[in-house]
Amino acid sequence: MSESILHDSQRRQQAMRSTSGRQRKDRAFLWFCVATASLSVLVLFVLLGAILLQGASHLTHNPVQRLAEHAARTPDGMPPPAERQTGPPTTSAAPPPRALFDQLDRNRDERLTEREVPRNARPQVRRLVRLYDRDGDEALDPDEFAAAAGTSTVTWLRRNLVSFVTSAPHPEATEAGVYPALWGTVYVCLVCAMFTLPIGVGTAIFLEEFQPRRRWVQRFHSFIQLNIGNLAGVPSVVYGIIGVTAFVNVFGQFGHPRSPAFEIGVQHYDQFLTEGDRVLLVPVPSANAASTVARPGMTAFTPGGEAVDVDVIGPGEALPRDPERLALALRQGDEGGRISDKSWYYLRLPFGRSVLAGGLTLMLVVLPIVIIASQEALRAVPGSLRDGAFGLGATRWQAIRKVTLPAAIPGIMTGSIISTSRAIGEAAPILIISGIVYISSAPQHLMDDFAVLPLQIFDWASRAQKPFHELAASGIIVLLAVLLTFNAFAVYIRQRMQKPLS
Amino acid sequence: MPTAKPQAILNAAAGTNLRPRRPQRVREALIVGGLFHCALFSLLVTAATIAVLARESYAFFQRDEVSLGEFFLSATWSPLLGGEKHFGIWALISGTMLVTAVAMAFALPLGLVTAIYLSEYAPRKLRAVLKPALEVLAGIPTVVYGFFALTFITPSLQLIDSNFEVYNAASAGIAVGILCLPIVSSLTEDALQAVPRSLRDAAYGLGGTRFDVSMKVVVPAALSGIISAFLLAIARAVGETMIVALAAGSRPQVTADPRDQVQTMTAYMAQMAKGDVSHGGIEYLSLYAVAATLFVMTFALTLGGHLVRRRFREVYR
Repeated sequence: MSESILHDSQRRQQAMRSTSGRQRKDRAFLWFCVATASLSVLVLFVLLGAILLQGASHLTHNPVQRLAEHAARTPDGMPPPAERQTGPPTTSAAPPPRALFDQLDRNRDERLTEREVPRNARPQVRRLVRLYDRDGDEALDPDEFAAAAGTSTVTWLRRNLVSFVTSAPHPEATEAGVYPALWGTVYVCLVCAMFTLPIGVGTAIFLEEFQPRRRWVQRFHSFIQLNIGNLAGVPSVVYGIIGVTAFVNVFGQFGHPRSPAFEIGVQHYDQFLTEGDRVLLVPVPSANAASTVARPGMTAFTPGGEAVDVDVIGPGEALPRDPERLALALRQGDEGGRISDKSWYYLRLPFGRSVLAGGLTLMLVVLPIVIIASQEALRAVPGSLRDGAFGLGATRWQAIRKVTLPAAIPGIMTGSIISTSRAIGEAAPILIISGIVYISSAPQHLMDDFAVLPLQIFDWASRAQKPFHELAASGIIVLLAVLLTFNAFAVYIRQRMQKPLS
Repeated sequence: MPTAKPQAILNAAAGTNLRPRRPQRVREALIVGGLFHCALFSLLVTAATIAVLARESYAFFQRDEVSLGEFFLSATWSPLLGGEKHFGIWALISGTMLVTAVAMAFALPLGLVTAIYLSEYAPRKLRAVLKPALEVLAGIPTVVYGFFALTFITPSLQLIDSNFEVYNAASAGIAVGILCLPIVSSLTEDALQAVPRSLRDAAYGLGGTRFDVSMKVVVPAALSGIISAFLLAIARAVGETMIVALAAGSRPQVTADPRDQVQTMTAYMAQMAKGDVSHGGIEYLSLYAVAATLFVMTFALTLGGHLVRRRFREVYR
């Protein structure tokens, strides 16, 4: 009896021990989990923090302050270039603006005029001239300078941000901006969305709403489904290289992009400069036609579109005296320079490294994601709604058109916008199709060359100098702002339009 | 159809025809046809991808400078250096594998633990904060991670050990790991959530702690889903481009030392694209061969992931 009691208590003790051991393990794992989860959140904060800090140091930089440091540090008039390139701006307090101005102004003639300052200091000076002296005169007004030097960081942030998003890439980090890349991103994503949304939503409707009953059609359905899942897993670089073959070169079927086989919306001209310094245009049929040679009896157009007879002067003939005739005179054998007048709907085959090719390539990347997101939205519509529609005598398409689609549209739009916003951040496929390009204007038509934000960031980040890294960080801030806008819009749509469905 | 007769009676009674009118039927057929072609488009994309890669890779192997045997067996990759060019894909594959290994050493355990925490432990309020935070992490463009690796992770690693090169596999691997973390954790969490409540209840009823329930019941039950998540994450890591192009360097070599610089398949493609290779040259064609290898690898991984998950879904529905 006592033995059995002992046995029991022993067992209980053992059980308790093992329970407490297991509970200890449980608690330990809980802490481990909390540590892990906080690590991921920490990573997010460190990532955003590191980028914001670097970007902020570019975006809030005050040229006046830097100029002050410059002036203070270089009594001999030559700034130490190595220090300017790599050293972070020292946070030492600048001298009072007025004193600083006097200091600068005293030496201005020797070293702070636009031409004479060392190259490293020039952007700051030019920036100051541009910002504070609208007349283009290089003298700085002391009062304005004092006002500018005393301007708050917030004002500088605003000014730098505006200049960052409105100026083109530049070899000097302080002058560079993202204007063409920003618009390139917007246009490419619009093109991408225009192609992706109809095809993606159509596929989703087909897969979700037309579930077949026959065996082999079912197989076909699940095969397409599996295929879409696989396409979503294909790396975007691979799509890039498919884009090069299929869209940039159109499988090599229409010749080289520089001499396209098919064009609309463009008029090519040969441009002549007459002896009287007027521009005359001679239309030519295609971009690779033989260049026009001036010959008697030739008809040309003024840039205004007026047809004029050209006065062609043979070799050895004297130029006409009459200025009217001189303005229309060309020497025999003159050759024109080829220019093209492209309208907004200019199209060509092959597409070349154009906005259209970029958008279509990105379509390949995001299409599977859009399909999957739309399918989920359609699946969330309760079957009872469909049954109700069928019960009222609706056909399949009527049920979709009038019931399912309206109920699913907020979800489809939210999912699609979020998936399409992935296209904004994609750099790899665009890198493959167009490489690194330097462009100073926004794309004008579908066939224009373009740059995108992520690629611009990549270009800056892959340079060795620190100012370019700060520039890249600023670019990332703009990119994240664009993404945030898109996502906020998607969330807004979801909040605004979604009604409880069941 | 057995309902035909009552319907006919109904029609006669109401004096209307309940079948859709002819134009309606035609329109419907057209619409269904259109939708069908949308769905076909995805098949077309796959077919075109395979065809293009196969054709251009074939052209690549037709060249005298390269042979199939060298490509798949050698580990010297020097497409640009001077007279003698070598195309041994293993140099690039080993770089890819090194970066992927570092990334997975980081992402798989962390992602799994985070998923278990989110699914089994976390209070609802914390979950409402953590999940969006992870989604934000997933939505950040990869070039941002590349920049982060180059300007933050690498200097940090160099502080710890000065033997780390400016471009190194570890830094890129950690960044890729951060990128894959949300993928692993959200897919794994889906798999854990799909385990029926009853299994958990039974385990709690037997006196299990949360740890016992998660580790001995839920995780084994969701194992195929977890494996599928891992495979998809590995595929993602293998195909990641911008991070490795920025942070991993450009020296194709076989090494197991994460402090060294390596070149991955994707980084090679990015490097070639950056430096504008001449169209039709052997370097240009080598892009297609590398892309084809990459495609086969990721396609196999994702296909495996989807097949594993499909099987898993059937079990628990």
